[in-house]
Amino acid sequence: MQRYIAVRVAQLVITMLALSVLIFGLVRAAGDPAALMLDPSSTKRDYDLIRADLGLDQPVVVQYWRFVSRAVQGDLGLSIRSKRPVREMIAEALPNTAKLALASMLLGLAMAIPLGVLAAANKGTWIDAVARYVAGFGQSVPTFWVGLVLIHIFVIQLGWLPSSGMDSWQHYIMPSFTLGLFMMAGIVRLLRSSMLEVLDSEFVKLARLKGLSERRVIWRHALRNSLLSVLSFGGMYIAILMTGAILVETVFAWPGFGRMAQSAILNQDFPVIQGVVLTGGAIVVVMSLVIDLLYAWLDPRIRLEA
Amino acid sequence: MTDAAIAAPAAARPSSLFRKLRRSRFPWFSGFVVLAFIVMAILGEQIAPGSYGQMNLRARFIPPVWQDGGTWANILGTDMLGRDLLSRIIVGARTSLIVSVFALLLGGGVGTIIGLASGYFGGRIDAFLMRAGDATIAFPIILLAMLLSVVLGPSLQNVVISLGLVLWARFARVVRGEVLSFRERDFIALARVAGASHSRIMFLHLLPNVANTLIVMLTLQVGWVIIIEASLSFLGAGIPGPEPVWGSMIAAGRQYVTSAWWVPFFPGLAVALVCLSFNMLGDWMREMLDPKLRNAGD
Repeated sequence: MQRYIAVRVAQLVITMLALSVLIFGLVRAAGDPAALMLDPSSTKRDYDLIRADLGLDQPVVVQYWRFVSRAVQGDLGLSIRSKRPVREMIAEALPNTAKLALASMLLGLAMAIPLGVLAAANKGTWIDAVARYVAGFGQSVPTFWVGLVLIHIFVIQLGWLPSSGMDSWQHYIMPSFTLGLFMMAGIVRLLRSSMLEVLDSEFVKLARLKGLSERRVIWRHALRNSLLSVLSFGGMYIAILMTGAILVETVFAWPGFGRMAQSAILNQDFPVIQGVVLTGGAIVVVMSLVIDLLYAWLDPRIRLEA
Repeated sequence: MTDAAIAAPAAARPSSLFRKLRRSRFPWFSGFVVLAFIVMAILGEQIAPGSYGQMNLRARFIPPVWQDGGTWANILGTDMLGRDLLSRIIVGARTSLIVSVFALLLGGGVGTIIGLASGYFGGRIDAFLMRAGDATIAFPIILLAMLLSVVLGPSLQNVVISLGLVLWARFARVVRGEVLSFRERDFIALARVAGASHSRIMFLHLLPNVANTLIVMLTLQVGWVIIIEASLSFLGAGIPGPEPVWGSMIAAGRQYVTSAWWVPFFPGLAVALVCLSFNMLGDWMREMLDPKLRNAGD
């Protein structure tokens, strides 16, 4: 287990280094980074100040080191638009995104688990067909479009729900359902196939031979093991959740990380985008590591390996 | 009698394949949507009922034909600049198809080569390439694509590059898995003995054996590519105008959802239908060509 943790942490560091080299290289390849940081009203003096601040007269390796060490200390520069530190903006937006992501994840699982289990337990019947169509639909329909359709129905036609912001629990309904639907689709397919595999395994046959009720076999013994293999894809789902959150926040004007990124794209606010990509990347990579470790800990075959 | 016993299974083979084809129920609706999408993308302006770019400020927000105030001249209505929505959707198919073709050529090509090499050589090369692949798959490309669009400016190439950066890993993983199952087979060993070079074995002996898998993969990834492209355009990090792009049409129509729902609705419906159809078609092909490949598209 210790060796496993060491290997995974090393992978995390390498991934983050690769990402930082990529960002650094892209920015340099695109031309003068000082010019990117300027806004149209800047003067020659601003330009010189930024150049000096970025250390552009230094060798490339030194420049890269400065970029990385500043980023590690949380210094992500100032937004061109609002002139505020990018770190501060991210610290404000992230908790809102986390709340949305958590609500969506729970809602997504609440939809996916019954659907996936029922589909596998009734393989080949109409229940299975419905589950597969629902999952296929959730995977094929653009998240942001689902959001717009929901707004049209529940805000404009029926007037039941608020369309934007996050002031009350009603504000959570549409965004977390939209994002949850997106999550649900992938999980259903995965859960169905791993349930089918588990239901065919020796220990399930033994449980049935022992005379346990089919309901108990499915919901207790088989589901537990299937969820474990769903968890092994957890890292991928964190990445999907991040992508989905950016789109859903844009649609519902949710004051989070994703909406901040979107307005930074429209304003060509380069330091903000750089900060968002670095932080977003780091969150995904660290969360995947945590999930992998959790998975390893839950699965004795990995936990007890020398 | 002996003759009959031997002949029977041989005769059963073609008929059982035929039965399988009939039983597998070709998804006609999906096939039709995919065909329509390709025809729309290629012919574009020629089959559009009106002009996709001509503005007419007096004809703004005409609703679809079945609503009050709708006209047959604009079956799906007009947008905020009075442009015909149906014509814009038809011409907009082209961008989606171009992006899909280039992204899949880039990602699928690179991924296939890496997958072949990784599976064939094994060892450290394999371990390194697969770790790199895992890292890319677990990274949200939308972030990378956003960065590219701000740093290099939004363009078709940047969208294709971003998509290719993720696609290669998906292809490499599946191709490698297939290659591993062939590597120890006799025909590969015989090719080695006959003096075939590594590249000859990879491209002439292994590649044809993964062709079915590749076709299924390509079909299943089109839907994903179209959705991500639309998402990027929706965020403003996609392909800039002036040609119509489905994702940008949804983004531009978003603010009119209260007064003119059809403006963002129909381009989104187009994305959903095309994507769903490619996925269904891919699922059908997977059942037909390669029952082993249950998780290739997930």
